[in-house]
Amino acid sequence: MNDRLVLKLLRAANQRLEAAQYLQGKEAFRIESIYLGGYTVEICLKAMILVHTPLGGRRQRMQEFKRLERHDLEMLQRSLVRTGRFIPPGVRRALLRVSTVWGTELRYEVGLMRRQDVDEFLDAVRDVRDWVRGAMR
Amino acid sequence: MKTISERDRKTNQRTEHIEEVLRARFPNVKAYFRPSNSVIRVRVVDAAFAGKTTAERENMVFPLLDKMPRDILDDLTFLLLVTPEEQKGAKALLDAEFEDPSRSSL
Repeated sequence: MNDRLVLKLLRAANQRLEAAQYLQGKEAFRIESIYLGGYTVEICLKAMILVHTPLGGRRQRMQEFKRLERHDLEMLQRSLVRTGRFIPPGVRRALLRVSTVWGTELRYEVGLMRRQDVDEFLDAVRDVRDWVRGAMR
Repeated sequence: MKTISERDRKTNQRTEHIEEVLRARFPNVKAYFRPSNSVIRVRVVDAAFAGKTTAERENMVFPLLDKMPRDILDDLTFLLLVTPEEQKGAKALLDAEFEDPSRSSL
């Protein structure tokens, strides 16, 4: 069952992705595009973990994210695997690409990135978002 | 005395298995397990990646990875595919993250 909390997370993920896609086409803001795209995946993983959390415990689990996984995509993936949720191979690949490149340290980065790198990163972000969105239907 | 990052880079049978499988095609492979968040990280350095996009590089490596048991793939969360030149230049930050893990929230 998807409560308002989970649905709100999914809407937030969509909004971050829309912003990332807007910046994708702006040469000067490709790092920012990746930065926001990574948050899309972080929110998607948290939403999926919450789906596997009993309804009454979801708000507490949201609080635990701040203490346990925080913004660590690698840990979030492990937490999702521990729920028993099957991750399709294509999504697994997408997660691997995103978690290798993305970290909150990106906020300190400056300069330009290759368009191809941003395009492939956001392809992976969309794969994860589409999987999560499909699972919520 | 080992540093924190050294203590957070262990090898075990599973990381050795990954290295063994990937070395069939890529001689320069390093894999380790991070006890702090129970994940496996892998780095492959190969000149054959030159001129290829991330997705193209993944397509070279995944046929080998796909042979591995699911429990190993479940733990794999970091896969760095770089050329020797990128290791020192364009991808140096990611290489530094591999060598000196910093992202554990613990």
